[in-house]
Amino acid sequence: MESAIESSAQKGVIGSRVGRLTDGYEKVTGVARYGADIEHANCLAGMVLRSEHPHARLRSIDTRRAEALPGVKAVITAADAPQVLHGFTVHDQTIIARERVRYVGEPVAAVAAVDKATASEALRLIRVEYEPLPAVFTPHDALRSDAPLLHPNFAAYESKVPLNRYGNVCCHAKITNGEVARGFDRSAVIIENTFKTPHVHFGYIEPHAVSAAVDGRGFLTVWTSTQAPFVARAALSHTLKLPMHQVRVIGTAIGGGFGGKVELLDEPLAALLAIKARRAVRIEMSMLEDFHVAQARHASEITLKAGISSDGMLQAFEGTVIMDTGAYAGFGPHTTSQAMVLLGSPYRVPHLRFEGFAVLTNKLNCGALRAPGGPQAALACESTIDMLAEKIGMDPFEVRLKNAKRSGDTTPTGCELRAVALEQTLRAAAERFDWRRAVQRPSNGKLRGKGMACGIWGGSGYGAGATVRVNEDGTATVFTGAVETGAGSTIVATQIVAEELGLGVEDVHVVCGDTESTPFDMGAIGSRTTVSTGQALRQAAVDAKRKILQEAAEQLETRLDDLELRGRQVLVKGVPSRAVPLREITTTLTMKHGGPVMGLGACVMELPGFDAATYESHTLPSKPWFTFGTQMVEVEVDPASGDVEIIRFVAAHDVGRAINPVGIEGQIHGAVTLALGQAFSEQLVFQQGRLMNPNFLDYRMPTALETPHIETIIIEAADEESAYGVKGVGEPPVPPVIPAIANAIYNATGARILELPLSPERVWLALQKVAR
Amino acid sequence: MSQGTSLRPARRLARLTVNRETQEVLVAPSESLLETLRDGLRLTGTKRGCDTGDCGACTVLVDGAPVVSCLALSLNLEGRSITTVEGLAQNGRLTPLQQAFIDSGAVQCGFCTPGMLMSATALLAEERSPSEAAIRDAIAGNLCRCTGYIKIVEAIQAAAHQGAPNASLVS
Ligand code: FES
Ligand code: FES
Repeated sequence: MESAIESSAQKGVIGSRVGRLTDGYEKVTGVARYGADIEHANCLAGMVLRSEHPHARLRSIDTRRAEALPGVKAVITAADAPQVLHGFTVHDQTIIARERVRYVGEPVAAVAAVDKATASEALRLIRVEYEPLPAVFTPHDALRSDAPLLHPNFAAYESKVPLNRYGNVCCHAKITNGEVARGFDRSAVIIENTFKTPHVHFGYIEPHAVSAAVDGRGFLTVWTSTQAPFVARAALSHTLKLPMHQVRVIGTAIGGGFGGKVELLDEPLAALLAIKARRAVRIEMSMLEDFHVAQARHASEITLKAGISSDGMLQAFEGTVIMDTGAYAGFGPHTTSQAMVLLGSPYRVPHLRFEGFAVLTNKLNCGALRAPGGPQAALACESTIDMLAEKIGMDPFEVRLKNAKRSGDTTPTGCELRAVALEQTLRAAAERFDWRRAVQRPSNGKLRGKGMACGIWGGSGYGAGATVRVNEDGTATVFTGAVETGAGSTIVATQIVAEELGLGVEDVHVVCGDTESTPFDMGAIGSRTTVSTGQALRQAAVDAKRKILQEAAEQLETRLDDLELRGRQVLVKGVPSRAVPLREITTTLTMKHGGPVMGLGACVMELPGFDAATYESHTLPSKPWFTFGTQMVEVEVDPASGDVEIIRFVAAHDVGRAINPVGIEGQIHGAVTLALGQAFSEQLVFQQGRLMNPNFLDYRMPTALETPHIETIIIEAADEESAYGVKGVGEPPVPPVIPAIANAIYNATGARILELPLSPERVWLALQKVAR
Repeated sequence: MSQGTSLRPARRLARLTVNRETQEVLVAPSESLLETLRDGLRLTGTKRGCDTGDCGACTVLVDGAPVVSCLALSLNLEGRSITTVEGLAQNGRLTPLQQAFIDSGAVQCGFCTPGMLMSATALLAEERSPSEAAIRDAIAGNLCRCTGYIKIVEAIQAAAHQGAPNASLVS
């Protein structure tokens, strides 16, 4: 079903509906090479020995028997790795456990052998003597004054951002706007609730796989299913103490990332094994391993107290955000900081005070799962809005509309919001959904209800480069460091370059994700590619076009301004007879005069200003752009089983400018479905730090049988700071999903559920309480 | 331990018919079809996701019926006709189903795609115009984390409208 696009702008290649023209053919024929598919001559099988203890001192590791096993070519432990600490914000982690293990699954040793059977036998022969240490498994335990410390020497760790750190807290952040006491004084209604969400797994279907090889000079090449080859290169260079020009990272096709294939996984281990064995080594994680080591979505506990006046104006928010970040700081300071900003960003709240704690526990490290911090904050914020609306007898739609942020407003850290279309998404969703219509009560004994939620999301910036080469025949080859994760970045790149150079999409080829042959790009993270890489691509194409038109102006003896590039021709405006085929100009440039046509583009989306007086120990006071969305859902609840079925789902999102509507719909569908999984069933279950459901049988993700139709509405509120006005869409649809469903379940049944997942069991139990 | 370098159990030559070609390949008794396809025959189009029968990424056709190859033993499949994603297109011509996946945007990361295509190919060989419910049922064992299944269902519907895929695949 095609989405409605609210724009009357004229469309060329940009804005047209494009299928999988870049990577589709190789993916439907099985030709695409993913992490595990890369072939090497004489390749060894690498395997990793992982900790069985949530917290233990490593007394000794004896690898002698493994090394003596025929067919084993290399065994590594921490003794083989440079003594270097790394981490996203706080440098608190080693690539292989040194002296201590802090979660079940942490790498302790690795082997490379002639085949998997030999490697796995070698792992069995490694003797590790552990001395178990007292462990902490929940933030509440970790925050006690007598709690055992995961990192006794944490003060010595370097942090890229100054953070308040103490005990097991790796970030204690604060945000204050106004005076909350005053806001609560002005409130007619004040409510306070605590919302809880569990750890969630990425759920990509491709377990991580990497291979590595060294050449005669000791230069390293790593092929890895990563979202960010340049991030991997920097981390490998840092942890292995190799200069960057000696490290090449090639991003393979990637079987889903969602934020889980950004930071180092087994890359440094494969590299160390390859260096030691002097042969190519491939490590393919099993799904069981991947569940244990992939950084999960942070489990959270958010307490939010909120006040509203009788005329429906929000007065004050006061909240505490606790994120369980696992054994290392990882993305914890960011997720915590981000959740605090998001809590106070969709609506105007004059007085607010938030405290956030990223807390270390002896569990797997948590990362940046598609919209990190988003669903956690949205569940608290959007459930609270509905509860307040009901208490003052106002429609939740009206309350949202009254309090919605507008352009020129700021986030709680004072970051200015541009081109805000929250109101537009609210109105568009309400119109499509027919929000005012009363829900039909079914005659089958089931209960129906409707719910809505809004969401805000801010994208990431960082550097992006692009090169456009216009070949002798007038076709274009494009180089970008941004890998194709499946989100469609190469399609968008093709459209942008074709648009600017007046080519057809079939005339453009995109080379991506190789740190040796493509320009720097931060990677497919934070919904940034279309915005940041898109800007660089446009610049590069325009640069190439300028060179072409300059040459053409000379040849045709006209002014540059009189020329345009269209339909593979250089045209003199108004004089159709003087057209010159593009290939003539590019051949001349390449062979005779001027030089081959290369356009360069580079961009960093600037961070808007913010107010440093509003926060403390916070890692994300500003982001280069934000976008908003509104979702509405109708559910049917079976009171006998607690089962919830989605009858209708409408998602309205502002993308600034839709470059490829097919891709945008796909992103919205996928993001909503991922969040539906978290809403209804997904949670990593731990017992004493051990993961109880590390497989797709016990960790239930949505199948084709449970997933609804999702009606998409694309709003285009152009951001004047970005190329074509685009904003990202990969993450923004995630946050509103869960609260929209929780609100709909309440509307259907009167049961307000504050904790995920909204499993049949939990819904049924909540219904029993309402009945009483 | 043959040659003193490997712990692989004794293997024997099996005659397997894959994508209409019969080949001899060394197979260990406990080896799954997925391992044989990927490691032995280097047909890496078939994907290893979970390796436990739960994700469907490794789905192939055995005599036209979808089978998760990670749970099938290669030595049991001598004399059967195995079709993998590499066997769908013929002479570089995509089946209508493959083309529909591209056109509809039913492919994102593409890791589930080979398995999805095999499940859907089997369905379309049985039913010329399956209902949406039948389509969702046929791909219920194939997990996709990227698409929300919507465009995949649309692609299968679009291919169904164009007639059955290459019938020789699923004879
Ligand atoms: S790999 Fe066979 S079902 Fe997942
Ligand atoms: S397209 Fe990525 S799992 Fe289906």
